[in-house]
Amino acid sequence: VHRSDRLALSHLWVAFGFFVPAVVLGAWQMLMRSPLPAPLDDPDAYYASVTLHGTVMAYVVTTFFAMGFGYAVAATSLGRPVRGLIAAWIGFAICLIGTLMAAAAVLSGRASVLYTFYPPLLASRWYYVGFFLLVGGSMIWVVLMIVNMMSWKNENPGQSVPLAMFAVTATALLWAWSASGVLLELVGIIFPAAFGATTQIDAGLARTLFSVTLHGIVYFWLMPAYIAFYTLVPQAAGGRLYSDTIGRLTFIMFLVVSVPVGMHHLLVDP
Amino acid sequence: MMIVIVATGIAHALHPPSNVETTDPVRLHLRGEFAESNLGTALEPDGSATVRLIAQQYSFVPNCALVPADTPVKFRLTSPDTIHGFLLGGTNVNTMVVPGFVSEVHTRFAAPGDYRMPCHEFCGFGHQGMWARVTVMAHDQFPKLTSLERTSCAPQ
Repeated sequence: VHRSDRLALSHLWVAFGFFVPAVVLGAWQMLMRSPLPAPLDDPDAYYASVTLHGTVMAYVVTTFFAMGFGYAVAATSLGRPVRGLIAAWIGFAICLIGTLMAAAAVLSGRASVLYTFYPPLLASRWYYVGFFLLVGGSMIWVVLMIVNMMSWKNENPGQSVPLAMFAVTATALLWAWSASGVLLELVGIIFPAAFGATTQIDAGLARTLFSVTLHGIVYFWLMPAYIAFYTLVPQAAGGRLYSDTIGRLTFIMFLVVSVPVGMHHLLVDP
Repeated sequence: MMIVIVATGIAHALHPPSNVETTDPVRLHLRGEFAESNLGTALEPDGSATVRLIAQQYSFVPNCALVPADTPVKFRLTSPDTIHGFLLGGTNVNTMVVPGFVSEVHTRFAAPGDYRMPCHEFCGFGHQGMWARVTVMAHDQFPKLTSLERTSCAPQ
């Protein structure tokens, strides 16, 4: 279990290591747009800062936190070390390298497109490749969560998977679906343009694909909190969850509702 | 409950505030509805007004629109470059302007007045300076203006 601890904690350290500077950037942005004096009053730096703040808060912190949380839940709720430790560390490395690439591109001032990309605006290809590695690398975590749940089920026939692990696997599936939109947008539209193969971007198609990610990702951010409320909080309060079945139903419903939910961004926008 | 939500959604809410209509963003200037001579406010035979605007980095063309009060007004906008936003403060007029699509918003202004019209979707470094104005004037004064006057407002 000790090695699983290190795995989970490394993810959480990266999450909070990026969270703190992103908070500072957020405060600076507020000063920039307020009548108060802001240090380093540089309008070009403003949108670079907004991009880094958004990318870190929306993707880096949340993805690393959810991954670390998932590994911790897998180890504690199943009561055994995480299966696929090497793959997990490879995934961690891919996500971290991607994050650093994207962050470097934004800090160099060549990727100020905000975290939703706003195509047909284009940023440095390093930003998009880094973003792709971060989101793509997290798919290793998705597979590992499914593998850990299924192997436990196979080894404990007749027993139901602990609710926390059940919910984490639902989160992983939700993330796989949500991320598919932005990954397709990157591969199908952004990469060809960023690498110079195409000169025009279909903004409507890009938005359509991104809408899959746009709302589902919010559920992905919230899921660790819900899992904590359904499993850790009742335990800490010295009781138990009123209904395990309803708890499971909640997370299945979350998964189902997350599939079409991004569509409303297309209904409200042209 | 889910069924009720889905049913009412389909029946009442499932429509964009804009129509879904495509256009060629790189040929706007050559011909058609968004050629320069067509921009600004036009009065329709039925008494309503249509305002055609182009949102581009980093301005609206024209940068001020005059519209008559107490009249159905239809805004039609498109973009030749990036995504922009169209919002009139204090009204329900709010849409994205996506290159390749024509956004359409219908509204009606009860009384004369000025509305600020900022771009509210990030469109590049000049985004924060991109805004324009809609001036609503009394209905009976409106038809007296020449076409040139209709696409520009008096400086304020």
